Amino acid sequence: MSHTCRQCRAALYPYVRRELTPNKRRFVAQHLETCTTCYAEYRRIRAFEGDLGGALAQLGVPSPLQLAHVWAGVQTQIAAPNEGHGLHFRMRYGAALALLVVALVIPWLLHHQQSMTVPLPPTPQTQTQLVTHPAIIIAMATPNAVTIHASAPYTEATPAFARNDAPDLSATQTP
Amino acid sequence: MTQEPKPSETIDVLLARCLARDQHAFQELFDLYAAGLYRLCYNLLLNRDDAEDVAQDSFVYAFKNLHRYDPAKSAFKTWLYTIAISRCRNQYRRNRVPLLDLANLWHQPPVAPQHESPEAIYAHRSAREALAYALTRLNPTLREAVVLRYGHGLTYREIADVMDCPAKTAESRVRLAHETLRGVLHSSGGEGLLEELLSY
Repeated sequence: MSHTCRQCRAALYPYVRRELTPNKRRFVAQHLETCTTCYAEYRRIRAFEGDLGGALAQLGVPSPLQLAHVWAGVQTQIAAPNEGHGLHFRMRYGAALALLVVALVIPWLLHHQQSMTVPLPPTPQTQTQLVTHPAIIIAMATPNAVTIHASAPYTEATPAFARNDAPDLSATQTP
Repeated sequence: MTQEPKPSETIDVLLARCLARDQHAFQELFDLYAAGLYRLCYNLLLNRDDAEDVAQDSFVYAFKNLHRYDPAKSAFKTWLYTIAISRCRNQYRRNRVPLLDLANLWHQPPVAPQHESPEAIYAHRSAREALAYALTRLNPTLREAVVLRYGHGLTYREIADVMDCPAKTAESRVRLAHETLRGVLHSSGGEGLLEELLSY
């Protein structure tokens, strides 16, 4: 398909509906006179366009009985007071408000329950509290120190240097 | 009940009577637009019961909200069609898959004359079924565009108003729908059936 044919095909639908500018319309008309393939396509589109309009206009034509049925329904609903709609409106917004309240209250309740049941985290010990324990003072001062928990009681396993009753070796080590 | 809509001046008078709660004016307005509106709903929903419900609902809404209609913005027909299209969209959402009311096609009295042969009546019915099937193959937006353009003769400007989109978009939707319909009908041999439908 040549470039001119492609341009013509793109403009065929608006051409059939007479929606092109005079210049473009002239271009398409001139091309259709010379190109049999594009002319055949134009004929097909034009025929289908007419057929579709006619066929759609026939599809779903109501019978007088159907229209009478619809009119009866319309009359009944017009005669009904508008309060039903107002009530419906109020109920819809009332339900939305209730949902909003639930959505706000449930997370708050959950948070409140958690704060009641879960114990508070331990308060961090201050530096002065830590360093008053003798075991920690020794461990901090000694290289390759054994880690000793401040809360651990003195036992037999506690190294001698960590106990208060450890012998003073400084005198023996002095040359 | 299928008379053509009156000139806009007459419509304005009719609307003024409706606003004054004149019951006869409501019926006259209904008679003017009911057939077209029902056909629009049927072409979009392809189900007789749904089309009746939506047409009824649209008229009720329009009659109860006539004070909201602004003649400066659009024609009354366009306003009414906008209401109907909106309700049809709600109906698509409920149905999801549009239902083809085969029972309706079967029981509806044929448009063809009574003296036609059973073969001709069958061909006529097949053509309508083919067209209805082809419409179901379009997505709702394209179906609305093609039905408003070909089934109801609205201009692109009016289609744009009803579908709440720019006129160029309406034009491209019509074109795309046209091409898709043609493809579907061609693949199912329905292009010739349309001619069959129109020959009666």
